[in-house]
Amino acid sequence: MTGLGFDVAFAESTKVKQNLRIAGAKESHSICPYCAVGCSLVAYTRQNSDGSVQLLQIEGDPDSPINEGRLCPKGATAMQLAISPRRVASPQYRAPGATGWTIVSWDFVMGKIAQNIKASRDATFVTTDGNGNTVNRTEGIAFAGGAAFSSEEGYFATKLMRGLGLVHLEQQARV
Amino acid sequence: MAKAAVAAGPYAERRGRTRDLLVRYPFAREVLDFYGALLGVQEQAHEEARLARPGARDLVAYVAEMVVPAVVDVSMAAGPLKLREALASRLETTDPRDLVAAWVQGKEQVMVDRYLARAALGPVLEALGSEAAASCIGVRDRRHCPSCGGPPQLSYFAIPDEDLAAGGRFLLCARCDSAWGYARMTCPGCGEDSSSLLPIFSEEGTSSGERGSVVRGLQGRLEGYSDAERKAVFPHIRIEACDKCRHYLLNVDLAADPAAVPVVDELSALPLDLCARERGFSKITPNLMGF
Repeated sequence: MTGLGFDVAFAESTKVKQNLRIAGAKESHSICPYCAVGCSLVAYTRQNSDGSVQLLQIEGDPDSPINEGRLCPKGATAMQLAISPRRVASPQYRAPGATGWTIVSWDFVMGKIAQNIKASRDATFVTTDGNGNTVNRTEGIAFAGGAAFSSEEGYFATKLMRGLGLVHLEQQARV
Repeated sequence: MAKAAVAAGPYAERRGRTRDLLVRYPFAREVLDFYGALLGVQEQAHEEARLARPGARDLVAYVAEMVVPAVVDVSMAAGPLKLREALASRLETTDPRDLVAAWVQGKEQVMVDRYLARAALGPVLEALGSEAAASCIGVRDRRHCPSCGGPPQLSYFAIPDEDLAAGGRFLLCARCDSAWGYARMTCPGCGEDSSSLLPIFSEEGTSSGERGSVVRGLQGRLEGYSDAERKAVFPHIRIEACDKCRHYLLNVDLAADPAAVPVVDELSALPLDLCARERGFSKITPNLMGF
């Protein structure tokens, strides 16, 4: 190691090395979830001692012929989807007439949404239009998808909502 | 010994970076002081070779006669004792032309021979470009220099031309200092590309996620992260290792430190070399100073 005789640098560097907090990580190929371009990503992850995997960094893959390292502003922030500290970590409910949100369980939320969908659909379901055509549609519910929807989530949401007879679907896909 | 400094060019950059790193990395002073002295000789050799333009057939003789003596002088004046003693004893028994020829031919050499040949030939190959490099012996494939066939000394991530882009990876030749593009997540030693076999070791707190920045290279930061987490010694250098061939090299991320000059930064990162060796990896090829 000190083949040419840099003994002082070797000794000093050994001291510095002892104080470095070095951690192992690995890079993996991935694909941006957001749109049909399918930009390639490099995801940088670390396995913690408890076995959990920590996502450390996402960037465009410079070796990809699709995006050559580039990402749009939405894809470049894909990591926020996984680790943003601003993300709401549990479901919240604001009761009719209430002024604030309360933290509730997933069971409560699923039950509440199902009940509300059933009640609104039953109350507003239209089987035929004014001309007697069969339409079978739910006019009392509209659906808006979020900006962080992946392509697959958007596909699934559309299938589900069309199945319920919704006609008013919107997706905020471009932010 | 050295001529007056040239205002710009690779050697001015290396000198400037060496000065900066002397302040930043006092533990590497011994290496950087010596490298700074050697740079003066190399710069002069580079300039003279650019004007003299020796032919490829005269390359070895030119380097042995015109450059080796100055490299020996500066090494005897500013080098560590062990190097001085080794040089004195080698030159008593060996023709410098044989030392330079062995490096041109890619043969195995003892460390002092390799140092002398490499320090003397490098600036001449840099000055002469592709024709001289083509006369060097070595494998021409993705893992070796396309110009001279030399092994990769280090890899670096280039500065991207857009904010939201990641720069490509390049390998830098240990012999002629040429750079060539090489895939990330592929071992430059054996070509392994299974990422589960390619561990990366870096200081904690140097990834964008740990700094609270969503996009690598951008300054924006989420709440709850402090500057304290960014106090890494080498925020821009990491160890890229391979569990298959058990080799490693250091990677310099220019997006993380745009002022970095990879060949100088790599010389100063001896603590990271020690970390890699502690984990049982050996460098694909030792650098000019033998680390």
